[in-house]
Amino acid sequence: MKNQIPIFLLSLSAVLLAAPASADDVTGKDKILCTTVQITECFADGGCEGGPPENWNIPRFTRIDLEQKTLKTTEASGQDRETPIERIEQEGNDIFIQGAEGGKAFTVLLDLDTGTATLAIALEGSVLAGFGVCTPIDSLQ
Amino acid sequence: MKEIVLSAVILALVLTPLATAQSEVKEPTGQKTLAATMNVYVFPAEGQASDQQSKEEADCYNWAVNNTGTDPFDLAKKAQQQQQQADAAKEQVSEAGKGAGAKGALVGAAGGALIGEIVSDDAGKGAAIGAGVGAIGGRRARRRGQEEATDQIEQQSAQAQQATKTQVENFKKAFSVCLEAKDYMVKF
Repeated sequence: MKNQIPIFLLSLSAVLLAAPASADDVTGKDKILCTTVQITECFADGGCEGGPPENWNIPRFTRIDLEQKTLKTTEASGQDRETPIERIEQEGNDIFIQGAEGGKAFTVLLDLDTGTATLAIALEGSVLAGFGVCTPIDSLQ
Repeated sequence: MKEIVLSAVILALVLTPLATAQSEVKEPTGQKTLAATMNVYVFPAEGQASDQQSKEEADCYNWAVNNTGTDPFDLAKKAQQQQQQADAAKEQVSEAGKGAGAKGALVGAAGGALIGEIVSDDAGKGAAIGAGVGAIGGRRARRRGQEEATDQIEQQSAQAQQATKTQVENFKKAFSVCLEAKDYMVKF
């Protein structure tokens, strides 16, 4: 019995640590703040490598404005970067955000119920994949 | 009674050589022979004295050096130097990478396109996007170059170690042949 308690606690911590970072319901919101934690780049030759978004010059925080159709960096980041969204399509509780810029095509799949975002960026000879969590910007004010 | 006396005589005859043999076993001096320092084990098959063995090991050492062109003690020094050089080179490559990382962090402040400035692991493409982002692409390319340089150093070091090992093996063969010719049993 004594041995079972630490095993149970260990298992519980493992489950809690493995759980994804919590996100929010973003249904009906136009302005959303998303964060990306980890990026993985896979190459045509089969190899992949992962790392923090900075390694790819991807901002940690991105503001998605569905009304103005833009992806923007935050002011606090000190970067003034913006990319237009070319296509927004809703399918059930998911929103697909797509566009292309500088020879790169991107798709963000945003789950409105949970605020989880899945990002894919196609480049020449490689693809970037990332996962993020989002929250409505008005909820931060 | 006769039987008891006979048994005692036989026992004495049997035990005497053993006792003599035991008394001939010399205490180890604690000093390694020349051969032993190279992990070559030499037994004097003809009961050669230890000073004679030392002299003949030295003779054979010189003979093997002349015939193989290899001196294991020089090789050991050279191998140590090579290892130090390889470690220093790897350290240098690692330091160079750290400098590049700092440059990359500064470039993050540049403005422009969000998606368009994302950088792939391709220095040329990164440079085409813009000077600032090119530096990040360059950083990633340098990181890859750094890994390749480290791999190359390790590969060269491994090749040098293998070459040294082969030279030592050849030397031991020559050394052993010489000692065997002088009636020693040799294993390495």
